[in-house]
Amino acid sequence: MSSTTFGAHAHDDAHAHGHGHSAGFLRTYVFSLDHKVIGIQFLFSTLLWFVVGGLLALAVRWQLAWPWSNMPIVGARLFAGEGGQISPEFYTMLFTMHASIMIFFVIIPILAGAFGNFLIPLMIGADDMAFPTLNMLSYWFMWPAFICMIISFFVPGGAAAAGWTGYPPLSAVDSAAPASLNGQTYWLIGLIFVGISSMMGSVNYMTTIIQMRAPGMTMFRLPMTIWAMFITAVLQAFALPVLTAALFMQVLDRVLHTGFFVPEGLIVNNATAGPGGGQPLLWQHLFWFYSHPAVYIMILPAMGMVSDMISCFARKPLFGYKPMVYSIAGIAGLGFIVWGHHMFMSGMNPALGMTFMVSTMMIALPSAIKTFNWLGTIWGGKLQFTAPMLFALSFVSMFIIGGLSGIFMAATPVDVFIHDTYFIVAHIHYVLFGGTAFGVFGGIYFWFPKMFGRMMNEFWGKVHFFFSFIFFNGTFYLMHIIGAGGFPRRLADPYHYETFAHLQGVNQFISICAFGMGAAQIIFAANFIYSIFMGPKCGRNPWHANSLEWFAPSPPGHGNFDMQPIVYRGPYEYGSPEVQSDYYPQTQAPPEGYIAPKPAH
Amino acid sequence: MIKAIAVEEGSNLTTSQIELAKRLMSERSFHRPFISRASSALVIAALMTFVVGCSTENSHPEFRLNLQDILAKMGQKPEDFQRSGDEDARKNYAKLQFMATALHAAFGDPDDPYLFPEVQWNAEEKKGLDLRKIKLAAGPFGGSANGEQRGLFRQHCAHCHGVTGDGAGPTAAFLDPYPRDYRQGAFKFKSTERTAKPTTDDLKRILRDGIPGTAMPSFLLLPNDEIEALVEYVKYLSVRGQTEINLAIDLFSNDEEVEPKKEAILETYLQPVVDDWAAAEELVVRPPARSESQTEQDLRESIAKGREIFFRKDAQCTKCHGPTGLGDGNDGAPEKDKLFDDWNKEKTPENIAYWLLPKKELRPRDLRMGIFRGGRRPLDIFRRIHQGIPGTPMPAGGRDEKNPTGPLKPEEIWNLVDYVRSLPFEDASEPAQFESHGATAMVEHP
Amino acid sequence: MGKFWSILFLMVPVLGIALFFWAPSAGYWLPRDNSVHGYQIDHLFNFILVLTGVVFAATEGALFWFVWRYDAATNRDPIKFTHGSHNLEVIWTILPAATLLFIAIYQMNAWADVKMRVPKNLPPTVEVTARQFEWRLRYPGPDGKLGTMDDIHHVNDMHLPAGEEVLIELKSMDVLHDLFLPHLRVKQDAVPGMSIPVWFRAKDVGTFDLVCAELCGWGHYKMKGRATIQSRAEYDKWLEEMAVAQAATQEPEKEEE
Repeated sequence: MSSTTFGAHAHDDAHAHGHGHSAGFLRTYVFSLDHKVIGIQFLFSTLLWFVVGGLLALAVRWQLAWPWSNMPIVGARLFAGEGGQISPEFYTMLFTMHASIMIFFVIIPILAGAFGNFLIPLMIGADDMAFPTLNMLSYWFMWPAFICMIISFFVPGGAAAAGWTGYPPLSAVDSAAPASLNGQTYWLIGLIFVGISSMMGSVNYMTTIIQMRAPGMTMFRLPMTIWAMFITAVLQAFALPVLTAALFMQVLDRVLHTGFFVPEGLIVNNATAGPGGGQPLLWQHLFWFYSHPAVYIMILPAMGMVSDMISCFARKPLFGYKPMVYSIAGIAGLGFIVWGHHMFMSGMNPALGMTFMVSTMMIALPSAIKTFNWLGTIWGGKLQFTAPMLFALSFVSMFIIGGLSGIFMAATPVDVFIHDTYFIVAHIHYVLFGGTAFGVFGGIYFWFPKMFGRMMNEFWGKVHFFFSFIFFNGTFYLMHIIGAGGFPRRLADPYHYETFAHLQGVNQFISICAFGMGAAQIIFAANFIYSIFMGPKCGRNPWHANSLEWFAPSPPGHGNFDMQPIVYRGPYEYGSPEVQSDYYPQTQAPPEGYIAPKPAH
Repeated sequence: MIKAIAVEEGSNLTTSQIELAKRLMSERSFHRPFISRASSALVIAALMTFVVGCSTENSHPEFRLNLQDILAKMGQKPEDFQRSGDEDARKNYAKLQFMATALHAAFGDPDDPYLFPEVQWNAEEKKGLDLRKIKLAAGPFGGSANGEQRGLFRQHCAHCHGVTGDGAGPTAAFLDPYPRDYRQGAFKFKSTERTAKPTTDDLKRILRDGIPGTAMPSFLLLPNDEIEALVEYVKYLSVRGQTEINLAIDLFSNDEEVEPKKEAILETYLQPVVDDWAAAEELVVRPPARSESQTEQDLRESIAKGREIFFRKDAQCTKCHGPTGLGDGNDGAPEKDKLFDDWNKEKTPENIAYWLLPKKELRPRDLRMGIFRGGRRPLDIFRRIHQGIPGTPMPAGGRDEKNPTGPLKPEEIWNLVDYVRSLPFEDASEPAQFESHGATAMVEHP
Repeated sequence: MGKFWSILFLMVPVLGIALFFWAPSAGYWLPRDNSVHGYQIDHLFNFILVLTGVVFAATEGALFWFVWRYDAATNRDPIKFTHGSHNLEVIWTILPAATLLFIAIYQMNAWADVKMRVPKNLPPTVEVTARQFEWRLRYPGPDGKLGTMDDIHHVNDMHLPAGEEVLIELKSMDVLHDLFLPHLRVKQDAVPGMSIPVWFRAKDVGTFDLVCAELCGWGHYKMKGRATIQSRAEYDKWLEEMAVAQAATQEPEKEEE
């Protein structure tokens, strides 16, 4: 894979970094301290999990479209005695693991782990992370989590089946869910490891961004990607301990029956559930205190990346750089005081719900500001419709939908009706798939040349975009409609309710689109793998972009830069009147005798 | 399809049934079936991408052979069917094949059930099973050509009770108590005498009310014809299972030759079971009437009397339910005195591998919970005390002509019923969860 | 190709809005509202729908237009070299902020109505205890009090009087459940260890689905209930019949079904 490309550079840069040439295979490609190798390791791992999570989702869609019919392959193999009809606990397992894998093994690590690792040192002009060993550990601590999750599929009872939110007592009491005997414990331990990994990463990112910027790289000359990564790291550092504590408490509840989340006198499935004395709502508070900021952890880096791509392919400076930075910071700050909006119907004091509603309404504001600024960026530019640009534009388009549908949920009375319906499912997928995943696809097309020294195929990239875009909207847009019909989440067979029986046709359409969307990703996988080996080689700066990573060789060798980058300006000076060319790299010295005008605000 | 029993050994046996029999005989698939199933989940999920949206090959479920009874109760071992070249093993295997053939001929398969005309519903004699209703409940989930909902059993029941009705569907292993194994023909909560079958109404009642305190939910909202179809199907599975056991006893325990003829199967093994079901309607226990007007004072006195009876030695209530009625009377009993359902009692360390589900202890009812599995009407509780709960250690306590040694006279049972019904409302009975917390703090009730 | 892509982006608002016009007429919409308070929720839903619809159309339209107009292949004008506009930023901060704040304040009363203003001096009509996987119901018996021997027990089929304020005491025996009555615009989690009041007033008689909307285990989808809204007279009659049936000491005469 990366061996051919990186191998060449291990020699090129040997003179610059004495330790480069002595490293063996294991040190170079497996337990590498190089942030780029670690980033690519994250990328490959998360893309593999993306496949697993996607397949689980397709299985969910199968059941929702044709409930209790023989699920292809899975049904006949696992449930031969039942005529291929899957069991309901298998269905709960499917959607639980789909969400858990997508959120904890794909989105968070692909943004922070893969792109964060790869881009942060390159974009700030550092030769590596501040703590390379910690960085390596942050990747390898994902492996116990991977193993836990894989094992959990094979233990008696199967994998976790209490939803990705793992609400107790369903999750905390053994007898509550057939499919959460041990699977749930493995799930919790897996997430603890993910948390440790994220924490290591976040400490590293903060330190690196604060301490290791190249000369001239002030905070307000950082690309938006780096700002987003920085804020994300801060969010993780402050929110993760809460989740980790909660996870430990639930492990204790399950293993030692401590009863943090289990009330007294509970009888579940005819078994007494320990001494109790706890409160199920406590878990929800702790969980969402992390997981709401985590929603921003899952979108901010993609927003940053999209900002960079849009500015680059619009050949125009980013509109309102500082407001963009402030709005990210605003999201981070407000992100900590809105968690209660997940709990409007939970039995939490409704007066508290009202305060959370106000703060939630307000957090829509920074997102709105960002959207307007993206539109401002493409206004009056010269748009180049490359694959990354198309994904970036679709990010904006889809994020508008995801953001606006959030206002429905924030409105507490409306939430009475749409809470836990497919309206929410539509919302989260518009933000996380139409938003983050499209942003990530764009990011892969955009930085692929830097990662592997080769270009991805543009034509197939656009074909991939076209089908993903069409099928994505076919899948998720209609979920708003069925959500408005009250169609609840997580039901294995919703159609025996008269209220929802007429929605089966829509669900079949949605499922067919989902299968189409899954199939479209085969194009991407083929393009990705082919291009690693056979893609056309590229120079340092194939996109004519400004930021520092394009100043380094493609792919950068150990130590990243063959010349010390010196930064003269921000990363978005496209089409600057100072120079002839339509881009103006951060490292390019200003023309002799030129006096920079006061920056326009 | 020819419904006559083939004389030639195995000739009418479908290949899949032979395969099934072989699969069921491998020891691994007996215990905790989910483990092996889940193990291939990931691998298979990875393969799915290429197949999704393509074909849906139809796998037809089969009735599982009741190997548990043959292996565990009748002292056979899996090797007894598998030793190559061994005459006994060959003979045993032939018996198994015979059983599968005979049962298939008499009952069809889950997608296409069948009954000999002799045991089909006969309105004049009021006995037999209604094949039309059975067909409504059988088959894969979905509507049939004429718009009737089919596959009711697989939609609502098979997850727990299994396609065969062996109480070992995919979900069963995790439920406490286990779902009912219809094949044994034993039903706990019924209006009839202890050894009799339940009536159709009893089963309907269970379906409608569910069994509180167990995983059996209420299907109250199903239309009446669907409930009746399901009840008939449960009866069909039970009849099939008992016929199978009767056959197995003769083939394996008594080592008898069974003539491969329809009449032999029908008259010796099938008809008696069907007759039992028909007879049940006449064996309903009807307690003596009690005076309709019961004043508060009467009730208090009755409860007090009931309390005395509850503690009476010969009534044996406290032995299991404990002096406080918390169901803790047998707590801390040594291994040999622990309480089990009959079908769990049979599981020993030696034969445990042959059973579909691990052994599970039985807990006497906590009477203060206010949860009565067999129904909460005084009538229901009367019957629980009078007939006991068949299949469990709860004895028949009522004294009548059939059980002259029963310790309790009808009036005494009524007193006991009142006492039991009052227990949940005695002071300190309400479990903590029924207290008001949290959000209700704002509510001011008068 | 720029035109092609901009048309693709134009399809988002065009089809998106068309779909929301088409859906109600095709029967895919909020189920019929049968509650007295429900109009507030529906009104808010529609209000936000219109508001977000306008913003949606405007922003997606702008996106389309910019993509159409500023395609590098056809746009001959030099780029507008700007780093932003202070005034614009202020405008598009304050306008949405004011709108959002307005929505926030506008909905407070509805929220208070459905969740905060617990009816005073109203005895609970029914105590609903959710368990895996059914709704256990308990009505006060002839003595009018809950928690006595003459309580009326039922399962899954929740009878309620029409046109009257009813108060449900919502409890759970085992795990989290959620009482969701789509037609009555009612949703509330049932939390073990808590007793949560739910109140509403149903308009018309009829039967309505009762859905469990919080994942409660493998049989979550099975937890189907029904709200049977009856006139007061029928409701009283039903209660009486239930009370009699529940006290049965003899097998009742076989009812014809």
